[in-house]
Amino acid sequence: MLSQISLFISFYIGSIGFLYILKDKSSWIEKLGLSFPIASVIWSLVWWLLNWLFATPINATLGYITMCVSIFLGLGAILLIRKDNKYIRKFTPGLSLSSMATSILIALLAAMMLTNIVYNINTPITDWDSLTLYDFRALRAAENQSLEIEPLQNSYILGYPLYTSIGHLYGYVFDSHSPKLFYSLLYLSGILIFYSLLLKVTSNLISTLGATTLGLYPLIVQHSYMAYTNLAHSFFVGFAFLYLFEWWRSGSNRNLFLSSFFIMASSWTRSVEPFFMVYLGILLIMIVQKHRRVRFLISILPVLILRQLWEYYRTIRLESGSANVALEVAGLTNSTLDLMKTIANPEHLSIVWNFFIENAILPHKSLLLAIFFATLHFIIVRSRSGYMLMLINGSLALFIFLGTLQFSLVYQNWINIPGSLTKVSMTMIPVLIYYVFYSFRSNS
Amino acid sequence: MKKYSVKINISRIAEFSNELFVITFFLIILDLTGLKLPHSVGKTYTILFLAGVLLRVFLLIIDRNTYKALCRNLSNFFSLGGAILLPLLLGLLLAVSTAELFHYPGLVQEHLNLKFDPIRWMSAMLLILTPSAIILLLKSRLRKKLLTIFIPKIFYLLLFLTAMAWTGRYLFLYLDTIYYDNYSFATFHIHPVGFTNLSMSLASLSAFVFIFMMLKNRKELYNSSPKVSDLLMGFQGVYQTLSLSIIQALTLVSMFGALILYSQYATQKIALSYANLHNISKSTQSEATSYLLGGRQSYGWIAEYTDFIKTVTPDNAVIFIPPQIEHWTWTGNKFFMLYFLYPRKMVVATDLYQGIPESVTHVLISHGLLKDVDEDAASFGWPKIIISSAQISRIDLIDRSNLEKNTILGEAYYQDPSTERWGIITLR
Repeated sequence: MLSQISLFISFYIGSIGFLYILKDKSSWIEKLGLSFPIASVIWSLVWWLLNWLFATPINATLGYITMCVSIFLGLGAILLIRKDNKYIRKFTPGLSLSSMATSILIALLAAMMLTNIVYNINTPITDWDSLTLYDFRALRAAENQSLEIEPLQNSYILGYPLYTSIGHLYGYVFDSHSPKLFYSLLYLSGILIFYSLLLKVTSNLISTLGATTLGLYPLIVQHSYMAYTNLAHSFFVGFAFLYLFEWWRSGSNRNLFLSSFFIMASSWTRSVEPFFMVYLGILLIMIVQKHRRVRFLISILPVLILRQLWEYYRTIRLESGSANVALEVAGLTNSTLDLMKTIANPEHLSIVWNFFIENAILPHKSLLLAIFFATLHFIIVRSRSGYMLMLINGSLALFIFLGTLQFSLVYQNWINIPGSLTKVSMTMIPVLIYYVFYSFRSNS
Repeated sequence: MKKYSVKINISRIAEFSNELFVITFFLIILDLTGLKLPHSVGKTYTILFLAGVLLRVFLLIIDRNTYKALCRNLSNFFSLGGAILLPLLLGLLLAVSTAELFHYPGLVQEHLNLKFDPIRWMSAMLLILTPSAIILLLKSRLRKKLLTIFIPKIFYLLLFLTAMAWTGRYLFLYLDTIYYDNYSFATFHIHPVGFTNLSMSLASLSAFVFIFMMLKNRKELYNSSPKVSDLLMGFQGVYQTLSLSIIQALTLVSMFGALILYSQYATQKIALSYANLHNISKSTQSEATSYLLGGRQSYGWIAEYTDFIKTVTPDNAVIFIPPQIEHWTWTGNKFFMLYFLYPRKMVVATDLYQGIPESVTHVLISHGLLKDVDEDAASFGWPKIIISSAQISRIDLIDRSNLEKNTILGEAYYQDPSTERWGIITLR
């Protein structure tokens, strides 16, 4: 347990050092928020590649090496590069009504986060997908000190990338039984990043309100208690789009880099829903507007390389790998044809549409009124950035709808698993909440 | 805003939207008095209210000046209404929530024969009336005292009370979970659900303070003399005196409403988390898993059941498990069973009556996890085939209710739907 916590602390030290090396000018809250996702994603990739290419055993030694490298990188960077205090936001304590409201919201959020951490440290995993897949894989890998073992080499388990499984391994290699601490830290980081993203465009009070809305959003709270991939995936996809939007708005390349990192991380968390396609579409529209083709290429490279690498890893492990790929291609072609036919078939379309409304839109009905008014605001003030956010949200929703349509054709039992659509629709939440609070921007 | 030369009689639209608001308010008041109105009325006034808001917005886009001028007639009426209704509502809301806290939730609704939840409606009304009431208070003669003494004090009091209600809710829910259901009512005569409503009322009240805090040009406000035209429906007043636009104010109010719901969910989650932690604090890993999955009579049984199987089978066992259909969605899932029974291997049956494959060393006896009252009892129990005593080395059974273990030697296995059996058959 202590070693696991030390490893996570070393992640923070390492990433903050990394961000110093990049001369990142963000506030310390943003640095703190970005630290855990950056470090955990990068180290999970490193562990996977080391284990795959050099057969390095995944054990406590690797954990301690990771810890040392992280701390060395972090402390080295902080010692070598002169600390520039100019960019650190200074808080002036005061008892105005606004700061009181902010502190109440923060107290509520802090209570939620603290409870989450205490709970996740002390409870075993009980979630279906995690038992059959993510945690199973982590446990077996920890026993055998490797991911290259027999029970993990089948198409069901290899259908999902390794990020959260290695997240559990960060604890298991030290014999710690609290793999869920990983999810608490992701939840915490997500809220901090969201807060700092909003703070770039609105006041402190509005940003805190936004962060509280995200942090207390029932679906997000529920998933912060579960060992599923959806929380990480929603945050990563959401932040990929929000940083992309921030880049489009302010033009800082750092945001494009972060956006490209997060979309890669989302593919490393779940590869089933290819949200990177929406990302490419939006990016293309932005590039056409801004005439920056080289950056386009650079920013999509990580996600494409990772997807290809994972696909290759998968293919060589599955016995009938080539046949599978052929089948997939045939399936895709067929289902695309079917998709065309379905669009012309109003009956099936209306069933899917109702299913979509019921399970992807209505679970978020508490936000709908606010979204309506925010949209009205953007239309009245004719805000270009508002339209861009609308485009992002619209594309995400459309993509989820088309995905449901596609899924309804390839999987017979689709209508009996409404929960998975709701889980996928969670991906829209960060961007939607940002959208609502972005409408307060013009007068701050 | 650009003027459009559309030939619409704007004054008619403005009057019409005012009429819509009047009708809406009368309907709401009628509904509140508990008259037996048809169900469609509730829907009607929601639609009317939204239609009124939309018309206002439409007017705002077309012509802002005419809009302002034409909104004056009824503004006075509504802000006065707000000033009278608000204290009345506040009092009623607190009285009702407190009464229900000590008796039972739904008390008032039942006794007055109302079709709606009065607390929810009053909270909603408060949210609607809050802006106009704020403006009115600010423009009154007492404004300086209000701003410097009254409002901050109310604010602190409200925060304190909301925090208390939330804490109470958390505390009693926690007690209920660690002792038994209904513990807090039996002991203290308090309903935890009552705190939900109380905290909701208090949280609605804090909307009052919240919107107040969004005022940015407060100084201008003190100095100007009260204008009736500022006060229409509150929102119009907010629009002019806050740095927020009318639509932003609406966004804020709707977001605030959503946030109240989220906080309730979150506090409930916090309470249940600590209650769960308390309940599993002294148990082993599998007992904790069992508890969190709903206990032995629910899905939680899987943890203790597989623990038993592990003690009676060797690591190299190959276990034949039911197909993943009907009552066996959990015990029939290969990966799920592997999680608990690894390194043993699983062979999944293709259908309920499939014979035992050759590679198999053990056969799982699984009754089916959940008992559905409507289900035919005969459909439970697996394996459904008869296994002769010549094939069987031993049968190990475990009782689901008291964990009693039992070993049967030299007997054939046949399925008996009337008894619930769990365990494993070791083949020769």
